[in-house]
Amino acid sequence: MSKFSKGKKKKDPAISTAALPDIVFMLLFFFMVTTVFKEKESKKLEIDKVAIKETIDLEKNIKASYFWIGRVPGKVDDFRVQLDDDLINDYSEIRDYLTKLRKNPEYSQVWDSRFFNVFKVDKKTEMRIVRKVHDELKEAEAFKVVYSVNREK
Amino acid sequence: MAKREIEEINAGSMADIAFLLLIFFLITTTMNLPQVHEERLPQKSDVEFLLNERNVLQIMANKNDKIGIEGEFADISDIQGAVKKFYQHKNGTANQPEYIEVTRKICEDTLESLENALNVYPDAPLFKIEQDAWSRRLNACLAFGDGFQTLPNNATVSIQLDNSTKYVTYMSVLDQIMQGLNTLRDSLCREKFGVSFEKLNDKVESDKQKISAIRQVYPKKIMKEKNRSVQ
Repeated sequence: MSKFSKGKKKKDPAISTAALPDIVFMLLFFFMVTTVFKEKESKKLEIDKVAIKETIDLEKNIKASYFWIGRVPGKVDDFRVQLDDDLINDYSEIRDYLTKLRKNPEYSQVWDSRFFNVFKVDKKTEMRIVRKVHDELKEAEAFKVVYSVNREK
Repeated sequence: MAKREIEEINAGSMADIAFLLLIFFLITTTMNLPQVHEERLPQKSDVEFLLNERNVLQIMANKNDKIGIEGEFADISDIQGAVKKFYQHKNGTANQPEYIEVTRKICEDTLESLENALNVYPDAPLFKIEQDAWSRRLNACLAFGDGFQTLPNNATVSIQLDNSTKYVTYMSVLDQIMQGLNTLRDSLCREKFGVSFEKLNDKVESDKQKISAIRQVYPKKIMKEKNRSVQ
């Protein structure tokens, strides 16, 4: 029997982890706030957007259909229209697409108020293409159009 | 000799620091909304107004993206001035649009006669459109405390484009028109309400009234050529 106990080592006090959730939450909130959802970009077309001075903010919480009009990469003058995810071959596809969309109550309820057709169009596009798309929109009774642009400072 | 036990660090204020940082970032971070130009396509059933030449400001862009105003070649930056002139000619100028005078009394009288007309023909769509227009004008009069002059219903800035005109030209023409219009709106807003038009927030009720009052005096009237016929 010894007076001195050798085995009993003194433990370091545990570091308090009480603040850990705070830090995690802080990071979480920070990223939640600073994340700007990138505007949908077309993967199939090259689009050089127009910059103008008088612009307005796009409204929040809208329902939208997206139209891209731009050049097929690698070709010089081949302008095509992309509707949501696919390039269209015939303009009448637009009408069919919108008619189908309107059957969905989520869209039909806001059709005249919060439903927008968002256009992203390349600078050099000829107006005939834009007009053809507009004609189809009128046929489908979707009258609200917004052109996505860059703001010129 | 007994070793002194290391004291636990007090972490109580850690949360405070975290919140402080959180609030700092909350306030300083702004979200950018996508910037757009809004346009309403004409409905197929829209009444084709018979337009009087003097009530139309004609802007053209040909296939080479050259601009014309009222049939004369012009520079794109001339559009702004032309739009300003179109919205506020001095009385008695040749070819000025036929402005309509709006005062509180005229609004009330017109609304009353429209009311009577609607009692006789309850389904006439044109009367209802007029009724809406005049009640908005009455509100504008009340907001200004004063009458004003404005363009007649069928007046419009008309844009004529060739099929081969580039999209960028169309957008710049629209931008020039809006710049001209917004300059007018801004100076009216400063004169009547002492603030710039841009500062008005359409989510605040009192500002909303001011915005709609100013829009009554300088309405955005842009028409693309297809659906119009000139007298």
